[in-house]
Amino acid sequence: MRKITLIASLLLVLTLVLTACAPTVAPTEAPVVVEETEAPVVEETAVEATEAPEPEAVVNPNTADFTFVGEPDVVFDLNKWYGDVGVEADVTIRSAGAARVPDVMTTAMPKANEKYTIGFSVYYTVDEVGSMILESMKAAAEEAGVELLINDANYDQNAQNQAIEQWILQDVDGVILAPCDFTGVKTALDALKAAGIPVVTLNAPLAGEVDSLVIGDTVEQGAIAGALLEKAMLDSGKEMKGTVVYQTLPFVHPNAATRAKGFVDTFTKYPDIKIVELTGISPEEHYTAFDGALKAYPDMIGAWGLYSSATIGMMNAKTANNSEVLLSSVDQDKPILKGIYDGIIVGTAAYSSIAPARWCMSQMVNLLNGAPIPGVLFYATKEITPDNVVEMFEYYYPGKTLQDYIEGKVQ
Amino acid sequence: MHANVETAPKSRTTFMKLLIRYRTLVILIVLMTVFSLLRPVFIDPKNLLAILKNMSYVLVVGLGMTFIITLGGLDLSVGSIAAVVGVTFAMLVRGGTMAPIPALLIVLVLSMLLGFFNGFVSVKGKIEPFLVTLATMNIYRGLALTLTKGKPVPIVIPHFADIFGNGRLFGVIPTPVIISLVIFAISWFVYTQTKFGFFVRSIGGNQEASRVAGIEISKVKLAAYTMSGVYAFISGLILAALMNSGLPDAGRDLALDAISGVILGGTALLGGVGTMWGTLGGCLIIASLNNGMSLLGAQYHVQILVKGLVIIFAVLMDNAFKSRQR
Repeated sequence: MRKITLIASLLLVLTLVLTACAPTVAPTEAPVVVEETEAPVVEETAVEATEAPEPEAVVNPNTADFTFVGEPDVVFDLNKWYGDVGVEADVTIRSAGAARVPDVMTTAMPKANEKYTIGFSVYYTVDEVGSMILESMKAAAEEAGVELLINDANYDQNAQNQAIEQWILQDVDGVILAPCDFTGVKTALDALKAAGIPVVTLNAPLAGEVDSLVIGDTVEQGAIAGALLEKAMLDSGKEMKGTVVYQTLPFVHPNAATRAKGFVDTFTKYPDIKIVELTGISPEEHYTAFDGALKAYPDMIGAWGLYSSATIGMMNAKTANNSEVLLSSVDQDKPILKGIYDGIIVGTAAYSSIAPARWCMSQMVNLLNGAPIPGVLFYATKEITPDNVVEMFEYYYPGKTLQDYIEGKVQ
Repeated sequence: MHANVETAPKSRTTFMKLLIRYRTLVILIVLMTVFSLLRPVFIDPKNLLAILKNMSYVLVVGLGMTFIITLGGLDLSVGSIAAVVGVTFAMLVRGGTMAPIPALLIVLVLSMLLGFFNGFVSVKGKIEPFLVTLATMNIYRGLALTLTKGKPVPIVIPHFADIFGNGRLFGVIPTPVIISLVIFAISWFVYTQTKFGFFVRSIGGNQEASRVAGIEISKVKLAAYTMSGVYAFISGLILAALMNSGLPDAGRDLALDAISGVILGGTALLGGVGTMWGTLGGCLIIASLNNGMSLLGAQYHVQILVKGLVIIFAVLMDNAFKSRQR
């Protein structure tokens, strides 16, 4: 009898948990539909917008925020961009032009002409960046007046592809996709193409067709991290001679490859500096690798964490070893910002987790509304150093302060 | 009157017995009902086919795992073997280096060797299969990463994706579903109708008694782990076809999903007892959970929480079933 009661209780808990999931995807409330227009077929609208723009087409309300890189009517050569760092790519971007955009829109989020249903698949939400992107996307959907369906793929490309299949079945109007695997995502992109559903990706895939990409200039991010480290080394009077270690992922990730290029290029002018690459995934792995490197390279004069897990592992190893090695980073996780404040890290190349989500939504809604959109949007990268870390903490984490974080008042 | 008083508890007991006996089916029906109520698109035939398609590569590995777990063993390395299969095949056929058929044969032999290695080290070294396959899981994953230098390898040969991944029989049934059901039928036959299947169950039930009965335990175990490599080979091909590329990171959660499916299906972790139908049901539960929670937009932390609850629920029902049998 006890066992049966236990089983029944578990069943109840399970049902409650599943039911609790439902509101997560409950349609977001459409604030106000701007105006009633004759509802065109969405797929046709998308194709018209990208392939045969009409002169009288809807104006993109965000144009004032675009600073075009190159000619606005020329499709950005993403394959070359990747090819320059040795990463093979075969991507077709359906929209022309590439533009840099600010973190904060000076223009308004476009309102949906009708109640679009948009699927958003995020690569993961188990860290702060992923969670913030998801929350920002929900807020942007509400602001634009669209229904948002969500998928948390947790770095499983097959799970992401399955979600896309489901959305095609549900006849969504558009999909915003943050790929898990930059090659494996092609299956999902092919399926969307076959179904005639427009797609905007957050980060650039290596294969397939997209209407538009919203990406960070990852080469620039690496270059900024390199420059921060270089400046710190020069300021501290170090002889530019010895080993510089950087830590990346154990597999080829296009963002990592492009960041690494930007960083390594910074030091090519110093022939006596040897660059050593180490790999890992979790902070623990990076800790162990860097702990060993601190002993293996007594001539180490600088180090760089290519992404947050790397930096967090490295800064803990540095502290544990009382090392004086200068360390720079990319990403703006709170422990990294605290590390900058504490003087353990010289600086980081940071980018908003809110802006990319907003720009993805803006691109998708404009596309569905029939407005022309740039094929690529580069969101901004900013330097964070000990001089501005307090302000930048509040900038990237609105409503929170570094002091509160240090005192444990905020997570 | 007296008879009526006795009938009520009896029928309740019979109902509980049925409920517990067909626990896998019960869980599946409950889940499908809940998901259908929350998201009606769940029972759309196209979505149900998508569930079957996405279950296929887990089921294939789960069928092999049923032999292993019935033996009282475990194989954590199947996901890594599937990754090795995908990347090796992709590399062999890349740029027309090799024709697909010889490449498939080479990769098949390779996956059998990897499976055999698991069994060999475990049997000859007298090491727990859990420890051996924990180690080889890392070794084989490292192999896949080393071979590719961490890069995905696109598979561009014609028809591969159609045959193993995204093709449809009669334009309706996804080919991975057909493949997995054929493998299921073969596995069911081997498990229930052949001497080998009997030996597997005997060894898992009582190794000493099996030895006394003259069953060559080492050979049976070696064969089962080698077969597990073959199942991982098929699963790896499906995964590679679904992704159009060999991914060194593929199949990361494959072993745990398959083990969960097998346990949900009623195969005892201690060995000796198992059913292929149960594994099919268990894998369907896992696939339905993945699909349903994706439709609900559940975040990863909720997904793993629910999966864990379902597994505990199934194990409790399994225990209740056994205690009633006693």
